Amino acid sequence: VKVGVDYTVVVLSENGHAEYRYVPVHVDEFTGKAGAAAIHVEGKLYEVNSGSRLNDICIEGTVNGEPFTAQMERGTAKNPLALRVQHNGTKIEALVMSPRMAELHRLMPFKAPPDMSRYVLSPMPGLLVDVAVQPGQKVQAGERVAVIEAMKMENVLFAAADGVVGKVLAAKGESLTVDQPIIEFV
Amino acid sequence: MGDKIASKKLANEAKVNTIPGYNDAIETAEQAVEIAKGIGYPVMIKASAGGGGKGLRVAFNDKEAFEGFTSCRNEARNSFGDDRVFIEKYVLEPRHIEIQVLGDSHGNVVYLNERECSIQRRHQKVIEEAPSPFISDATRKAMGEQAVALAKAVKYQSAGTVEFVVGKDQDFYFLEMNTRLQVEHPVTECITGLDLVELMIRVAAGEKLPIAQADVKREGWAIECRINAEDPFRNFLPSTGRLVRFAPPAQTMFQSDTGQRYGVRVDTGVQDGGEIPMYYDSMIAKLIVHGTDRNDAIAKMREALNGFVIRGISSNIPFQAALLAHPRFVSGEFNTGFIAEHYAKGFRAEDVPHDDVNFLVAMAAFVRRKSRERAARHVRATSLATA
Repeated sequence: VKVGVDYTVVVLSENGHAEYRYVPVHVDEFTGKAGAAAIHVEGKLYEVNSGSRLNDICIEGTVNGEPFTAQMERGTAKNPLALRVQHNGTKIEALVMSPRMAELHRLMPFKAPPDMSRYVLSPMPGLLVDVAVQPGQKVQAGERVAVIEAMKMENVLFAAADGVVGKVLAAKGESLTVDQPIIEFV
Repeated sequence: MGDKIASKKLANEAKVNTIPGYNDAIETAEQAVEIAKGIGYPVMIKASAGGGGKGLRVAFNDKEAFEGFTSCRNEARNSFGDDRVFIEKYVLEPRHIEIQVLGDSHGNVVYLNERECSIQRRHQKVIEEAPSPFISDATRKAMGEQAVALAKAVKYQSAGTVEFVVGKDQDFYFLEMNTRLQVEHPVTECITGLDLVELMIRVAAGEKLPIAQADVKREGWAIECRINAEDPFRNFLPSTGRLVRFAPPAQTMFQSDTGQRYGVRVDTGVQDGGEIPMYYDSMIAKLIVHGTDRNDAIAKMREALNGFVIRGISSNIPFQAALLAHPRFVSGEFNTGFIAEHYAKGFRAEDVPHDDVNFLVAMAAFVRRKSRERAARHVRATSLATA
């Protein structure tokens, strides 16, 4: 196994933006001490010291002498190889690979996340108590389209824009999961 | 004291500031101007039946009061069929600041300084701190003494909180009194070094308060963040389910132990593997830090939030992290409108700016490199063993 000193971090998502960002990173040899590294990212040096283990979610240590705590997990719902890093409320998902792999990765077709703006999605798990529209019906932004009951509260879903209802994808009385489409607009 | 109208009457009798206003219907615009002058500008002119912004005017001078009354009354008549109009003092840039009081059965009452609770979302407190970054020593003393006067007037014998709305000129008005221990009491425990629950039990048992007003301390700065099971990115909808991981940051201060200070405390009733059911309030923990000053407390809280692991359900930790990093929060210049004003369209991922995102990129590479290193060691060891 070659450890290597040059990597490319492919940032898959950053603060909700789903555009890939390829960042070359140079990691200097661990100087005898486990958990110490000098990391160069776009001209900036991060000297990291951390005794945290690979299976810890919390990574604690110092960066350039300042204490830090970040959260790190391997594997996300979309990609089992991706790393998820959280710090100060910001979350990124990234793949770390060799520069050659990154070169090839750029050639892979980019699968854009599906455009869900035509759908009314369930914002939470709950019971669909009412669908207030029918296929073919014209609705205006702000119009009530469905009602979901969760936590003993009725939550009314409103149309986000003007449109014409194409299909109703869930039936009254159905138990919904998060992000399940309820209505599709034409 | 639970009844708002009765408590306002009591407060007036105890010479506690209440929001000045005229609570009878006003007949003419000339009369309205006279009343507004008496109260002092700015004033709020509001229809008795008003709501949704209709039938509401703010006036800063006689002319505006005259016109405001007239249009408010017309609006009220047309929209609600009820043209009764009232006037009260309009508090500019209001803050919610409350005074903790403690009384015993021997007639002693002390105030334990204030708590600043202006960071609210839909009238629910989100962050509380003590002391307030806003009020002066003179205001603190005046508010404290009025709170004590009110507690004495009702012969109050327990821990209680007197809530005030404070305007931008440090003018303050009584809102209501909470006759119980409050969620945010730990920040007061931090800065005073007192155990409020113990004292509550002692005074309930008839003991005398062990401290006089002169003994009440105000040391360092404490902040509390409410940790809620809700998804800030989905308009704060409650989040339920299994707590796959629940690992708060390491505690160095504890409930009912006033010996440890200047650290991190976590008050919670949930645990790793537990279930967050849909039947209760969404607050699952309180994260409290005590620092030497406000900036130290903010830095401690940011680190504590970074180390708080919650998985399986969504939590408001990213929102709290964004608030703690907001320049206006850090400056201490905010009022109860802060969240509504700065997150008017709800909270989005873009609202969590990071001053150096490449640090997260570096961490990803660091961990990847570490795991490669371990794999290499493993392979070397295996090949040596078989050689």
